[in-house]
Amino acid sequence: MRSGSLKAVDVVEAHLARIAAREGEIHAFNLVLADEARARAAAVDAAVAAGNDPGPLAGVPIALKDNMCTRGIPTTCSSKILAGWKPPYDATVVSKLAAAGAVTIGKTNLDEFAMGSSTENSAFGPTRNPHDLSRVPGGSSGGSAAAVAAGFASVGLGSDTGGSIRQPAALCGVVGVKPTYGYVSRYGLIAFASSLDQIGPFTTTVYDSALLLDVIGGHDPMDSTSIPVPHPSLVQVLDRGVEGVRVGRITDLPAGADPDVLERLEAAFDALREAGATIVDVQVPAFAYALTAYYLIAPAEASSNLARFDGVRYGLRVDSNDTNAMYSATRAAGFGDEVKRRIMLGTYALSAGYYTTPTTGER
Amino acid sequence: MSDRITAADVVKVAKLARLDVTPEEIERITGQLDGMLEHFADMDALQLEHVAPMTQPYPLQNVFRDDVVEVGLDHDEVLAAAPQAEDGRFRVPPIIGLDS
Repeated sequence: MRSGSLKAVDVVEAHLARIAAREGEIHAFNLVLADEARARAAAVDAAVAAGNDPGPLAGVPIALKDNMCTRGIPTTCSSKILAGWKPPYDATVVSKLAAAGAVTIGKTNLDEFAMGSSTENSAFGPTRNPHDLSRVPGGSSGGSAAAVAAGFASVGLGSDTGGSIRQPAALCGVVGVKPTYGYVSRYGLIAFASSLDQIGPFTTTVYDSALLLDVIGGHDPMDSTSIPVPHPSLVQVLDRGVEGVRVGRITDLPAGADPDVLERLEAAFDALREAGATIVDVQVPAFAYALTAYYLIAPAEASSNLARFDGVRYGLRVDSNDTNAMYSATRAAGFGDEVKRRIMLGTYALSAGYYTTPTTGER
Repeated sequence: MSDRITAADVVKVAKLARLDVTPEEIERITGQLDGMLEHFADMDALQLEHVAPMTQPYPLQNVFRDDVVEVGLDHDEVLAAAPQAEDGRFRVPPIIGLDS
């Protein structure tokens, strides 16, 4: 693309053609940004023609999970409560992708507010697995995983709180990474559980994931939990190999994993060993409690984070004659069952030991 | 019905969560929360008296930026995305002065 032998507009048209052919049966997207993508691609081609550096992701079509804010472009979290809302700012990852020359081709479907593991739990209908339409793509970032697997986009971004990138990547046969917490700025990612949420890539190769992480990673003053030290380029270290690297092999994983998956895991350890890594058995007894802890921490944080959807500043409002009644009616009409269930669970957890004071009463 | 959680607990939590719930939802959520609480029982059984509480795992400190004016969100753009706005502010129903 940088040499001018490949035109960004042709790449975008090829992807839009694949979307036109199969999106009807897959439903990876909440919104396809055909016109915007064509305009962005033309700008990349113009930059190349003018002899300017179009950036490391020049003309690369990317699918964005629809919980990342895009200025002036609807961002829904696949929830009725945000339907039609146009954010007044871009997420940091969106700004960084634009600066790197990437072309956003659409906003992808997810389980409502990223709560789910199948992308069936969306207010706008389920996404299907491109490899077998009778199966789910995984979730919650199933739309981005399916978009990359179907060739609708070269790369995609998802978010992972409790497996929402890693699991759909596995189910769709693509590369997916949940980076270390703090590696990628969460500014403009609509929060589910803030202490666990991370944005990460979906790609067809490990190299592409490294490239994408190099672009979107790094400290951001707008996210106080982003790591305030420069990170080395992952692309630069990719061909260093694993000679001398020590890899932990967890021996007390909770039961229930598919034997086929465990077999492949062992094969991966064999491959690492052959490549010069040392495999060390480790025990993580706390893993037995991981799911329980997750189902306390994530809903508690979610109930707090989702308090902002109250019909005042964005999205849906169901009018009533006082604010409390308006909040409660709006949230009842706007949230789906799974989101309500988690808000209730989280509110219950946070209110354990809470006593309503006589002065404020029950309201 | 459960001894861990009652329909009255669910009604109270729904009020705290600012969530209108139907009688059907109260019944369903009561059962669902009960199931979750049963799941948490294995964690309750842990001996944690001698473990110091950890509010967060990262050694974070509050961060202040330099006190200089920066460009914020566009006022009109923010209000344009609101359900109701008036005179440059969000418009809401009455907060006080109502009996109900």
